[in-house]
Parts: sequence; C-alpha cells; structure tokens
Amino acid sequence: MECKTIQEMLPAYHDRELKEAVFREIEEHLTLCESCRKVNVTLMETWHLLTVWEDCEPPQRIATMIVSGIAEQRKIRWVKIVLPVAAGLLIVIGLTFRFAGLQNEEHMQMPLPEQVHLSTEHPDVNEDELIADLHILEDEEFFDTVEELVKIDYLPLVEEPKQEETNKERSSLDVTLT
Amino acid sequence: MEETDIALMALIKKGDAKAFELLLARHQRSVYNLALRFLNDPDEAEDITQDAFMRIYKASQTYTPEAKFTTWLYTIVKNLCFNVLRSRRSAEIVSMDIEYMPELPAKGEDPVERISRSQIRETVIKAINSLPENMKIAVILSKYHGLQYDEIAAIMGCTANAVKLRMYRAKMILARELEGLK
Repeated sequence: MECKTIQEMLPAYHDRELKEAVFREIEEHLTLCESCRKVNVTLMETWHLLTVWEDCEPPQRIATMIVSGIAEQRKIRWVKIVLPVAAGLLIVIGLTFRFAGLQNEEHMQMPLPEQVHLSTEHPDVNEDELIADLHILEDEEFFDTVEELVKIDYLPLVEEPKQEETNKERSSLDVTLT
Repeated sequence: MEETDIALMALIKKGDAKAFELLLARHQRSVYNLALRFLNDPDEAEDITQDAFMRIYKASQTYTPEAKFTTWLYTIVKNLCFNVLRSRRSAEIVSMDIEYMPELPAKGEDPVERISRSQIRETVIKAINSLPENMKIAVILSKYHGLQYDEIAAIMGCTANAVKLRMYRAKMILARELEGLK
C-alpha cells in the first residue's frame, strides 16, 4: 500500500476498525516508514488531547421535569382512553332511559279496559246533577262569558244586525223560551 | 441482575414508571453531553434531553428493537440537534461562545497547571467546533461515546466507509488546528 492510503487508514487503525490483515499490514508499514510514523504519532496525540473536554453533569432539574412530564402524559393517555368510554356509556344509558320513557308514555295513552269500565259505570256519578249544574252555568254566566271572550278577541266581532232585525230575533227568542 | 435497555423498554410499554426512571438515569448524562458538545448551548442541550426522553416514552408503545438501543437513542438526539442547527441557521444566529462550559478541576492540580489546562481545553473546543457538522458528530460519537464506525454510520445514515473517511479528514483538521498544543 502507498503511504497516502496508509495515512488515510490511520484513524481507523487507531480505532481498531480494520480487518486483521490490513491492521497487520499498516503495523508493518509503520515500522519501516518514517513519514507515516510521524503522521501516526500526530494523530494519536491529537486524539488524546480531546480528552481535556470532559463530560458535564446534567442539571438535576432535567430528570425532575422529564418525570413530571411523563406523569402528565400518562394522565392524558388515561383521559384519552376513559373519556370516549364514559361518553359512550352515557349515550347508551341516556338512550335506554329515553326508550323506556317513550314506551311508558305509550302505555299511559292506551285506555285500560278497567278504566273504561269505571268511567261508564261509576256509581258516584250522577248525570242529572251534572246537567243541572250546566244549566245553572248557562243561565247565570253564559252572556258574561261571551262578553269576556269578545274582549280578549277570542270570538270574532260580527257586524251587528239592524235594529229591526234584532228586535224580531229577540221576540222570536222570547217566544221560543216561553 | 441488571435489565438491558430493551427489557426496560418492554417494561415501559407495560406502564412501568420505575423502568423509565432507570432508563433515564442510565442515559441522561450521555444524551445531555452529546447535545451540549454538538450545540455548545446548555439550555438547548437541556431542552433536547427532555425532548428526547419524552419521545422515547411516547415511542415505547410501538418500539421494536431492530438495532442497539443506544443507536436508536443517539439517532433521536442527532436529529433533534440538526433541527436546532437548521432553525439557528434560519434565524442567522452564530455563536461560538465557549464561556458556558464549566471546567472540572482535576484533583491535585496547581493554579498554573489549571490555567494551562483551561487554555488547552478552550483551544480543543474551538477546534472541534470548527469541524463541519457531519465530521463533528462523528468525532463526538467516536471519542466521547465510544461508538464503533458501523454504529455511527447507522446514526448518521451513511456507510461505515463514509464514517472512516470523515474520521480521517476530521482528525487531520484537528491535528492542524491543535498543532501548537503538542
């Protein structure tokens, strides 16, 4: 091998990064070649000089911050798992209750046979009394109620008929009432 | 018996917090020093150390041991360092300040020797910082982390021969820069 090639291989020679045969060849060359030996010594000394740049102790806070950061990450990871599950469960529970509620409403609206029976044949209800009460209401409050309804626009205002027609109607009404 | 890094990663995957703390204690120093030497900035080295370990934790769920754990770890750190360099370049911040590097006094060192050592140290740091980035990371990984060329090649994404060549060129530059100190 030429000196140039040998010198290019010297760093790998120092770092034991060569095949055994090449390593032996360089070793042999160095015993014979003065210039390559000089380069070799220079490289070795330079490499040794670098040891003056020693390691620094990392600040203690780094480990503390990393560990607390990881704890935070773990919490976030749990939330990411638990939150969708909880949300899903809530939706399922909500839907179940809603469905059950709808079914109950349907049951309430359906007339039960017993209730129908009670409403038609209840012994306490006296129809004659009810009709009599209605009559009282008609007699005493009917016109007042109509006036009230007109006031709040519940009944549409109808143009009043002419005086003569009104009188005729009243007389006919009186006849029918008597 | 001491758990291997890969075994610890498997435990972390199962949610073992102690395994993560053990892994952190084992590699924190080397991660911090790699970033510190490469970037020359203790704050950035701190950020990168935190970022690297957070990434390791997140990746523990999908981690499959295809190579040595340290190769994977240093690849993460190297990528983070190169990202910082890119953002520095875009911000056009160039800092070669070496005042931040706290020097550790050697035991039984006299003041004269210490000054001399401090000067040598500054010169060495300047010389390493003057290397191109790819050479610099190769030198740091080889010299200060004891990595083999094939591991460095895996981290840098190149061949072992490329690393061999870079190491040769880097050592020649350093020899020229540090000639006066020998």
